[in-house]
Amino acid sequence: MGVSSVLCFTSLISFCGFLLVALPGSVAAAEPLRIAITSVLVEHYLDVNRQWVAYVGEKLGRPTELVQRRSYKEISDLLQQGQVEVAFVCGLPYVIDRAKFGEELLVAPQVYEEGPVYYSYVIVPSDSRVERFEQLRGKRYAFSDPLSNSGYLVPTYLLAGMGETPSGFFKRYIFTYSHSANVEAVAVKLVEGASVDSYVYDYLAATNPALTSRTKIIQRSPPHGITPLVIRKETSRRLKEQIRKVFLEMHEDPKGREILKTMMIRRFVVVPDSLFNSIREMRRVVERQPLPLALQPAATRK
Amino acid sequence: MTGFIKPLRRWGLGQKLSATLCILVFGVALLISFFVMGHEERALDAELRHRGSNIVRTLARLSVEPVLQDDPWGLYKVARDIVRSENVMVYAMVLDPRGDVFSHSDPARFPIGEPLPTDPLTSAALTAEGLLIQVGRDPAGETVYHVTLPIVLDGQRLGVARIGVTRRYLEGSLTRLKRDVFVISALLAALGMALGLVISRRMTRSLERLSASVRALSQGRLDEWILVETKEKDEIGLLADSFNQMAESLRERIREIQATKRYLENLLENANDFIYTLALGGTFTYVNRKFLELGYAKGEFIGRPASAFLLASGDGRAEGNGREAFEARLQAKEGAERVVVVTTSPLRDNEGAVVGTLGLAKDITERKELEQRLLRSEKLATIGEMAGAMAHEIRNPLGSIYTAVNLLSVAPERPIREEQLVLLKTIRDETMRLNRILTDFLRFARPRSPLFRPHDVNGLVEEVLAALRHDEAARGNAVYKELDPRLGPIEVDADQVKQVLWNVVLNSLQAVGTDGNVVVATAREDGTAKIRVRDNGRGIPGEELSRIFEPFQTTKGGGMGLGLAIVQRIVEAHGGRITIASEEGKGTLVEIHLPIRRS
Repeated sequence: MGVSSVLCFTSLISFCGFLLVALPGSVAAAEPLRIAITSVLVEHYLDVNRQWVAYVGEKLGRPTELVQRRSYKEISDLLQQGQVEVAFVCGLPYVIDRAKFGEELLVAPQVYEEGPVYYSYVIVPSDSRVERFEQLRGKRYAFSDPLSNSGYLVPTYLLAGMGETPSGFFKRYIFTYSHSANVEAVAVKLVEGASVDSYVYDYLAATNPALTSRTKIIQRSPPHGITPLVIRKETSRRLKEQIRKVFLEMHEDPKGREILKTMMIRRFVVVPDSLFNSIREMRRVVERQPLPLALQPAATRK
Repeated sequence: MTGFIKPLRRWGLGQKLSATLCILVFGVALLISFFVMGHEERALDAELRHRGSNIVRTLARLSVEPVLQDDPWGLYKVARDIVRSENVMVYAMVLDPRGDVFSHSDPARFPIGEPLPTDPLTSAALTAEGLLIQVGRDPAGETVYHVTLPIVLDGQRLGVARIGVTRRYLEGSLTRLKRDVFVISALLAALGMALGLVISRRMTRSLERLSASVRALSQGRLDEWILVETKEKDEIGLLADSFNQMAESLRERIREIQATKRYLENLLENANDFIYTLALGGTFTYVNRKFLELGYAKGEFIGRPASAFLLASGDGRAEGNGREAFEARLQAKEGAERVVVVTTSPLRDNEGAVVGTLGLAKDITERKELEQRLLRSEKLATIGEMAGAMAHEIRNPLGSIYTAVNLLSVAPERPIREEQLVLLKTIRDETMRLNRILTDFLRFARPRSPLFRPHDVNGLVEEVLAALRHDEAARGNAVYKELDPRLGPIEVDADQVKQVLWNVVLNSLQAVGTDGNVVVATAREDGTAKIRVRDNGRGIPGEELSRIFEPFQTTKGGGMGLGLAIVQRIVEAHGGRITIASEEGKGTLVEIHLPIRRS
């Protein structure tokens, strides 16, 4: 096979790739815009997610489709493969994927007054005697997703600071792939402690106080960049702008405002990539540990 | 037992029927419920085992993936949802092959990774090769089925799925079933009782009316008897019909009997004879109305001995049982006693025993008087015949004597002395007296039939009184007249009536002596002319009074005692009657009744 034929083949591939990428934008009316989320944030959140996804389609004037997967890993794969255009992903998968295949930040929700940030809570059962994270040594602990910042990176960063790894520190740890599941696992005492996304916890405290009242927060991390909405790098600039505009103006639209209120989000804002530098730093620290960062969704067992 | 049953016998028909239906329905319901609940319990037990098996199979199937993925949270959700979805569930768990808890529906009590507390049941479950159902009890004592199934994949034992199902809800549903059965039984029993009451009410309503009618009939209240009407033609209806017929015929019979009784009572009461019954002791138990004629009330007889009223002549006895008649006298309260002929017969009860005496006394007083009068008439007739012939024979020589004495005293052949003249006069007077006596006698012995012509009785009285003024016996006495002018003429024999008046008034004049008075009164009374002659003379003694009209009864010298006998004969020949009442020392009253119209 000669260079020309290689070039030719490459061109063909590129053309096909162009077609794949450009087609959704050009034949907008036929192809639905796919938006992916995980259940990591809140289980049983489907109805609210459908609402805002439908809202976006309505504003764009084209159909939208909600794609839901269990883990961030699966979402990252979908983004990389171009099977979805837009996704809600945690800051950690963002910084990994950005470095890996160059996805772009679209907007981020502002939940707290401080800005588009959130925290990682360490929670224990409400009647637990544990008051500090260090006291959870030798106990059962729950993480959410191995690619979750608040549900995994922040606690392993804490452990790294103590010169510990999860398997060395805890008697047993599990992945629930859901922050709300973490809250429930603590509430029913399946585990004796868990790390959860502050936005999810606060949302549950407002909507299901019976559940959160059986738990208590013993530690709150410093602020980190909140779970952003990302878009494939390959998506047309025009569509990117259109979508971004929908989100940024959502709080000014009555229907959009209603949806935001339900989601307990003040508004969507444009965020810089530097917002996630703290995550990059923690990742660097943790990766220096002898234990490789768990990128696979299988839990380890002591 | 008897003490329990005895009061039940006093229950009404309705109470008995209701109680029977109630017990019957309740008993049947309990029996059915006993069988149904037994069956239900077995069915529910089998159902529970079946459900437990199905659930544990589901748990085992759903556990494979989380176990392989080492996902206790995923398994917890499965266990949690299974426990929540079935109300019979107590717990659900999955154990690893070592017996440690992989996940449990109650993670707080059974933490993941911890070994399960060992007990015989658990130990057996851990080594179970297939489906294992164990029966145990929870701390509350409820039966729990522990159902275990090994989780096997490609021949590799991954762990054990185990669930607990409780009988609590089974018991709950059985309790509800029992309660429902009881409530339905109670309702049915109440319905049965009500039905019993309704049926018995209908029955007893007819029976009560029957009973009331029977009471009315038995107490003789024939008019209060009600016709018992029933719409139903059941046994009670037929009984009511029969009763109506019986009551109707009974009423007829009773009325017949009452009519017969009234008839017989009438016969007895209105009989012209004295009819009585006596008890064995001889006291009156019944007297008929005839006895009232004696002047007593019926009550004065009842209970008193018959001998106090009935004086038997001879050896007859009022309470005797002989059928022979005997003569007796019945005492009257006022007026004359009655002469009766008594026949008695024993009074027997239904068995034939003598319980008293039935007596029948026939009043023969009148007949007795008639007999005496006839006897007297016959005697007089005989005497009359003889005396008439004799008087006739005496009268002829007496006429010769009178003529001879008259000739001697009017034209003697030689002068006679004064003494001789007095003697002659005596002979002449006595001869005339003898002649008068003979005339009276002949008039009595050979009475002539009255010759009726209309005459004024008052005039006849005047004539007699005028004639009497010249009679020496009447001299010096006052005779008063009270004559009724309305009397008018009546048909009488004037000579005979004058004879009657003469005799009666003369008797009175002779009775009063020199300082008495006599009143002659006439009046028209009850179709008769009544002539009353009253004096205030010495009166007539009782004995004489009873025989005053008998001939030859006299208290005075110079008479044959035929005066009043002649008077009575004349009055009777006129169809009248004469009565004399007298009281000694006070006076006498003679009443003569003559019929105004002659038939």
